[in-house]
Amino acid sequence: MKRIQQYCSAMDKLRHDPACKQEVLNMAQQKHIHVTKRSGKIAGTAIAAALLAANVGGGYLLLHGRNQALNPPAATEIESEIELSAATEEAAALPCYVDRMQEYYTALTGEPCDFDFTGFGRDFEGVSAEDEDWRVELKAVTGCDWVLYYFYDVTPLKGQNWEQFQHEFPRMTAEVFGGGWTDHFEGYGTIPDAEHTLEDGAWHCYGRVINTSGTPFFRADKTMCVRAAIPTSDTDTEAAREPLDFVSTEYPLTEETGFNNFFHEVYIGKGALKLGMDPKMTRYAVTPFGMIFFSDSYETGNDQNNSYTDFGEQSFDITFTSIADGTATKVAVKDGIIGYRESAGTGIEYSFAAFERPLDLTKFTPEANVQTAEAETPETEPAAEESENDFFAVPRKAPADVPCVVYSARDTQNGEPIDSIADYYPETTLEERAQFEQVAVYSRYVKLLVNGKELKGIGEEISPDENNMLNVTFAWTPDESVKNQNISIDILPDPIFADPLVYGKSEGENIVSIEPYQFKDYVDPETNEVIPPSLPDAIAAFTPDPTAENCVPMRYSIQIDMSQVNLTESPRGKQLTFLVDYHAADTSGSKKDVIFCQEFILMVK
Amino acid sequence: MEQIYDKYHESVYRLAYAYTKNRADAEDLTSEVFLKRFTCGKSFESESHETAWIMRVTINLAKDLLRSFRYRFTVPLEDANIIFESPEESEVWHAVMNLPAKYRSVIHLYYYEGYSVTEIAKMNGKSETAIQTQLYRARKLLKHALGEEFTDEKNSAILQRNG
Repeated sequence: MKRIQQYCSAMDKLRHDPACKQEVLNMAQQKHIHVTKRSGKIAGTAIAAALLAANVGGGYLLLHGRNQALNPPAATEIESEIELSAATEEAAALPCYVDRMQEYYTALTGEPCDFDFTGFGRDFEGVSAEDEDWRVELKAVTGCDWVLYYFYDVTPLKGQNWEQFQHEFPRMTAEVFGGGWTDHFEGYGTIPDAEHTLEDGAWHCYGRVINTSGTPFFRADKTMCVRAAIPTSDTDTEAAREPLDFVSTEYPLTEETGFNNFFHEVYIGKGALKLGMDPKMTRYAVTPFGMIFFSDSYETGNDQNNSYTDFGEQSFDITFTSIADGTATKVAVKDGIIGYRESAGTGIEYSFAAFERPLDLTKFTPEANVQTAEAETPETEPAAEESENDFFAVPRKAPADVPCVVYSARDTQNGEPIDSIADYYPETTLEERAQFEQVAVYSRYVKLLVNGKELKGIGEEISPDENNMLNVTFAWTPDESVKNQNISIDILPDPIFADPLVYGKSEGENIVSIEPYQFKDYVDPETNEVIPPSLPDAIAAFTPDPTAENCVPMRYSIQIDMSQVNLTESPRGKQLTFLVDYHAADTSGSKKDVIFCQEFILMVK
Repeated sequence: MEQIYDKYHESVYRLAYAYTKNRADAEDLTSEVFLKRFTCGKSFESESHETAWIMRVTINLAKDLLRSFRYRFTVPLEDANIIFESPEESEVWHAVMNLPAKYRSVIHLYYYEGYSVTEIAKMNGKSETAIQTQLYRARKLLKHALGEEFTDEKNSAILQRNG
């Protein structure tokens, strides 16, 4: 049997290296702790850990000259390589800031990148720092008004291998300041390279600074400061301080409709949260590197409050239209951040969606594929013509007439009805409220009936019948307005236990356990006909509407023998919870991620 | 300091590993956790408070690491080099390790460390419902991966380990 004990038994075998103990105790006693400079953001660097085990003994730090003029490789050096092909010669002649940026995207996608980044950066020479083990050297900066990539080399001076490099991680950090804001490096690493090969004796590394200020880097008298962080240095050492004046191409922010309702969904806890809705992103700019979004500034009671999160494992596409022939092309966004900055009573929300490959804006219009109907009337439901990816890019608000189960709550203390999720959960964040708004939109199509009675809200009381049975029916009755959104409902009560109806077995468990149900198990993908249910403890009956294609009404009924249900006491009595997952599916019917989870919390008399 | 280290270091290390799936990172995280503990100047009301603080710091540092670009782009996956007693044990281990970090961590805390949902919620700064949901999803994924129930025998597992 594959049981949890097997995991525990295996984990028992994982032992901490005893040699670490003395090292930690010594460092603690000496209070000689390397902690890298942190950005003050949620997702700031966590490299400090990698530094802790570094050799903190002797060593020296050399800070070489900096800011020397660009010196492309000497022609004689290139010519001496008689094996070089013409193509290689051409590549070698590229400025470093072009070459490294292309290398970055090539590594990112696995496909050669020949985008011409000329004019988007400058090279550096001689800006370096080193100790007796490592040398870090700034090579180039590439970017635009809204994002900067800086490229540097890390050279192992004593033949250290990749693991040692990872362990100590000598690196460069950067920040841009001016105009009352400072934008710190947001992330860094080596340019992805599966082989971790040294090139000319060094690993090619990069860092990135995203503009979170709302004022452009190159047109606002800003300065970029690059610091070196090498293992023997307790603090990052300034290596270069450069005025940002070397990129002339502008990508001004616009308030035109199209992308100005951008938000991003992240999965936190029980479902997707939408970030970027309150306040809304009202301004944006499209650049070859990605898209930047800003909200209007807003008043806040906070003097200093900064936070951001990255896009995590999610990715999505943004579609652009070819200027030449009007055809569409999709650019993948697999990386980005969204957050807010608040200072002295004023805040701004921002997001940067990094393209997986650079976009030539001379060939593609920055006009989005996103339907503008939502931008113009954001309070209404999304248009039926949305693409399968648009649920990432268009906010959906609950219509006023939606009988939303999560909005229709009762105060647990006095039983009074309350109207908003903020009333029920006073400490919910804006993002969490946005999640409930998302739930509200779709919950209009779902009914939960117990013993024939439709439930309206959480905390509602239910009673078993005379046989101590609960007859539960979920009904999903989408209308035409959601037909093309390809949303499927997936009723997945907790499949934790072998016995499908054992409940509350462990402390804190309050999720009803019913035999798991999978939509795909019951509907033939070719004929769209219901397959007789095979799970013995679930009675499922669906009535696909052949005219509704992927959006079929469904009913799913189960009988719960309450004598088998071990309810956990809550302050108001015995509580029963149903979880219902909603998925977005593509037209082939394959499942995508759960876009939100609906929860029914019921009290059992 | 030594007593504190001896008492918690294996738990911290294993939790860090559950997040990072990488011995070197787990060791570094463990070191940082104890350096924070030894230099924070805190005194705790009780052992349980200290435990909660240490585990929470571990979680926070691990999450920071997972968010970092350095980790996402440079840290290779490694095997723990554990000698498994059976193919099933190996299969279960890898099924857990292949879960998304937030799920394998909650599985680890709940089943291996034996914390309650309430305690895990406090450590993570999340609601109990959120943790329950994560457990629910984790078990769902495990069932999918293993092809059968990831049997909930928390108490017996803990008792078995405690001998």
